[in-house]
Amino acid sequence: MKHFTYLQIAGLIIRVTSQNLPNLDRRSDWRYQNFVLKKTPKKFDFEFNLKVRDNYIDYNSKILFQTEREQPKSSKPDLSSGRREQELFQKDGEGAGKQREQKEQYLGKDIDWRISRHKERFLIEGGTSGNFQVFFDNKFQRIDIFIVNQDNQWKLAELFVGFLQIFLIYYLANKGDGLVVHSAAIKDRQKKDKGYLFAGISQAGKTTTSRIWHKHAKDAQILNDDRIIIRKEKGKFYLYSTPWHGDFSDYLKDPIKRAEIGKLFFICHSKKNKAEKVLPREFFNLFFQSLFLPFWDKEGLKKEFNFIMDLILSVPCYKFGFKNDKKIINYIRRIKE
Amino acid sequence: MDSKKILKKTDKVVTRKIEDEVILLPLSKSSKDLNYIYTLNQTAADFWDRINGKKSIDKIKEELLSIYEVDDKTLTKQMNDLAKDLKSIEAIK
Repeated sequence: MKHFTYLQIAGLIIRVTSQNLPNLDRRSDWRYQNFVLKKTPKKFDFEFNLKVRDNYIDYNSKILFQTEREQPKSSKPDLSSGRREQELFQKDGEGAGKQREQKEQYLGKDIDWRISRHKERFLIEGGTSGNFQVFFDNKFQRIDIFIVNQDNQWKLAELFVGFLQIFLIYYLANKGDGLVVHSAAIKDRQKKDKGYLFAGISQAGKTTTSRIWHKHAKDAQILNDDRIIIRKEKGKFYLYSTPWHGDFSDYLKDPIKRAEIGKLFFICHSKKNKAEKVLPREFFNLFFQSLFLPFWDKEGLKKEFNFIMDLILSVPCYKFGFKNDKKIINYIRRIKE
Repeated sequence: MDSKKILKKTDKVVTRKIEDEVILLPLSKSSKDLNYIYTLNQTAADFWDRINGKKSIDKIKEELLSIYEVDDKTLTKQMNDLAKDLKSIEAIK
């Protein structure tokens, strides 16, 4: 018997077809509940055919790109899954240890995930919270997901944390209408529901910014404190909430949100608040450090370059050194374009 | 570098012009290689634009000398340095 689970993320609806419904996991499922549709939608954008199997199968595919766990100290984007989820994964006990061992035996100790070419299809394999092998063609007409575990069941976390982020980086680049950014974002009701994006490298203050707005701005909503998807629809750019949070996640209990972009900020900690409007060229160089791009795919990269330039030429862009206190809320609101 | 050499762009970088500069992003096979994007200023971008698999380094230099007020020796050094850098990131061969 087939079961259907419908996911919605960044305006995309995904139908997951599987033999079993996901196994409930109270510790993590609440993070994803707003991204799982309660009612069957009239249509969906693409379908995941999901199966569970107990081991990796080696397809001898040609590796295009892989992430290695020893991540750079600096500003390079961290393409592995969220830090928080890795912590959860480590707390999952013996089962998780076995899963990790299984992945390490197959991919090697330092590899988080990799994408390769197998005949006419792409193959993404790896995992942090759960193991997976996913096949898809370049038109996304057939997407086969194999969750690798010994339970013969699957969890939402295995889907969301496992590979969905990597898949969407590739999917959005391929379509040329979206981008995954290492950033926090706020929707501000006081400013006609416009959104502010706060991009930055690790430790730049994304979670700090989110906590300040969450605590002190009652008429603002946090979209995410670590990962945001930007999409362009009908000529306007929107910030979308994602389930891939940083060290702060309370806001994920609220319904999922999007906001039309009002301003883009590249942030860093500072002794005083200072926002400086910068030219597209300068902002590109800063912003680049916080982007998740398909570095293996020339056409995808070209499309993302065009998307980014379109974005930063359309929206006011600022360098923002900020002080960790609630004054940043009014400071941001008072900035004139 | 041999001034008669003809340089050719590879397909291992993605480029994008922003204002008068050119940004180069090398494709990569590992997260360990995600080092940098490279920005070419206007002069370097003019050199880059002329690399087409047909023109020799001498020919490109001749064209740049007609645009910029720079002496032959300085330009030769700058071009050689840039060509070396572009080769090191496999942007040209």
